[in-house]
Amino acid sequence: MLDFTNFNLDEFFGMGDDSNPIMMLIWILPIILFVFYGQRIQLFISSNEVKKSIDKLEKFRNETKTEFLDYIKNTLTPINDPAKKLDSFFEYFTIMPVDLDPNGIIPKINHLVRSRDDFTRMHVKSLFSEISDFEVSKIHNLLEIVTTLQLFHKATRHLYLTAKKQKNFPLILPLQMMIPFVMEEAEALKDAMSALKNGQPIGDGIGPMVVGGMMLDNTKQTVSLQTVWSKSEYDGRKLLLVKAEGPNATVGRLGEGIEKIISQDKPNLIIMVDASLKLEGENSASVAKGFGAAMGGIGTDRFQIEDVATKNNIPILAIVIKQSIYEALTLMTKEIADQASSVRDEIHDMIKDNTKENQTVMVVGVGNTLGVSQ
Amino acid sequence: MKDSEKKFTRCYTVLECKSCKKSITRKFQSGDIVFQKIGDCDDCKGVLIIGKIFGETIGP
Repeated sequence: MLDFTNFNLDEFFGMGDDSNPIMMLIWILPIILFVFYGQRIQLFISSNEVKKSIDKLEKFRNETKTEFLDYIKNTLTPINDPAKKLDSFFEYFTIMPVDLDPNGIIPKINHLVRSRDDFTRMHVKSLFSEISDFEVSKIHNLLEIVTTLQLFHKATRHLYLTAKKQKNFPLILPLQMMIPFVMEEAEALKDAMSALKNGQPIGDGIGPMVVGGMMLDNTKQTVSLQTVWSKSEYDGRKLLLVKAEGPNATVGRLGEGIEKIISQDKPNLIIMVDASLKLEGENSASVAKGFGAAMGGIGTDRFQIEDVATKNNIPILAIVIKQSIYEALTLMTKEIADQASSVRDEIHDMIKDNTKENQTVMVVGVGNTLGVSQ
Repeated sequence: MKDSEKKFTRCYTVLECKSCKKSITRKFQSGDIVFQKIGDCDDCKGVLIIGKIFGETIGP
């Protein structure tokens, strides 16, 4: 039987007078190992975790690509096999204009983004003998999802392989920090496919849904590409209502449309309604009010709206409906849909509080209006 | 729990009568669009429109 009664801790760890050289080695070896190879061990552990996410991204890309091609082949009637042509679309890239001298860069970006949109739309149409604008807008969005997932996969894989090749631990750190955010967006994009294919409203569509409801029974006119507006009245005030043209999967060209409307009929106040990314800890579907143009995206439309509002001295107020990126990109939740009527009430209160009778108010519904008409 | 772990297994369409405000919830049908006129209300013969379409979360 073992006897532990005369066990000496100092002796065991080699700290006593009669120190054990083997125990000293057990102490010293790991220290030497971590001093010289610590970064490599960390690189090995971190890169394994990153690799799992990259494999997941690759899986998402392949799944969405297959789902997209199946949707086209089974639901629509392409002229030829679209796989080859679409494969080349997935690889398209956009080179942003030179920003060494940022003066005048917004019109350049605007031109670039518009050209890319027009080009994609034209090529999507050319794949089919007959196709509705609704289906074109859906395919355009589905294509964007696959392209974005492809880009995520390529960019993260590049950083991962470079760090591995150069055995460069610090290079994997920014990737390790960013990958949870990339994965969050990637999962949202992957799950957005279903709503897009079925033409169902997404969380981002709450802005157009609020304004679309205010447009009902009024005459709608097209003001710019995939953008409509109508006139209405509320409590002695004239309302100019603007949104993307539903039920297409589009955000419209609100900047251009608002510029045109303001050149004909100058409002005293602009109210913008949009979905907004919630901060961690905030409740989904909570409503917040503020100042300034509520609008995401690349920034060109927001620039146009801010510019025309500044030139005409029109204040801009904003109402946002908070949601996570997952909620914004996937099928609208009940909590968000239920907020539409209360946001309309908030807009009416804002109008009464900030304008007088006979004044004009522009209300803009910002977001992707998929599955939401007007 | 991650948002993506919540799975939308059902999508619903809410029909609302513009006159009597009666609302009916049914399963989403292909072609449903928010604010689309669906028919007449059984109770008051007012216009029945799609008021909202939403997904119900059934998750772990």
